[in-house]
Amino acid sequence: MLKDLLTKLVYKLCIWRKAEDDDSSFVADEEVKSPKGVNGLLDVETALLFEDSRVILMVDYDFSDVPSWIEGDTETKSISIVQMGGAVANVKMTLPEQEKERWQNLKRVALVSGTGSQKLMHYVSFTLHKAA
Amino acid sequence: MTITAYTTQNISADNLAAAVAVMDAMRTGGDDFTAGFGSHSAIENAENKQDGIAFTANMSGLSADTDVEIYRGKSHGVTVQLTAGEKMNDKLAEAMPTAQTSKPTAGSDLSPKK
Repeated sequence: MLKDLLTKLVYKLCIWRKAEDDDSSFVADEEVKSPKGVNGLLDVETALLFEDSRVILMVDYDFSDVPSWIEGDTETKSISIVQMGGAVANVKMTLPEQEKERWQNLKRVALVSGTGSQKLMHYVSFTLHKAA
Repeated sequence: MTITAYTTQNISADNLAAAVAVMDAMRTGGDDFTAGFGSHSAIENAENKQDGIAFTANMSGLSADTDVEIYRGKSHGVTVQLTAGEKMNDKLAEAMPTAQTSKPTAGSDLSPKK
């Protein structure tokens, strides 16, 4: 009798574990989403302003996702805006060689965005990397 | 004080002036400039949003005389001298003949004459 009871208990536990595994795999599938925001070339009016250690990047664009940080590439001199949902917008300008001393030590950039007279300012981190 | 601005060939004076306004606020506010951002003379209607600070630039709010050296597209640089209090976008538009401001200026109607 005790053996029967234990067998049933193990059987029920196995069913419960299997159901839990099925649930978790379902959630994992749902979490795989394409990046939000703008991906690829951002073909809009753009300006990059330098004064002492301060840098401003202005883009004439209304982001649908929140800009998280800005990346620069030391090889290609490209500039990208990484958004919270994972999308990466490539800015239509490059890091100016004449300002290398400034952008090499740059930590943060004020990103000014918006198409109308109302703008949005994000003070975001700047990271430099070298293309692989 | 000199700002060096690199821009795409197509750039409006209003957009460039908005960026200059933010630079003016950064200059006077220091490292923690975001705290006093909304009270700067070149910044209007500042509102903290979840993802940044919304604002409109006060085109007449520049706090100090500033030279702006503009490299537009692949062209050579031109220097614009902005005086504190004067309308930044109008002065920038003068220096960049094809740049647009939000309102048409006198004599800027390029439509065919009848």
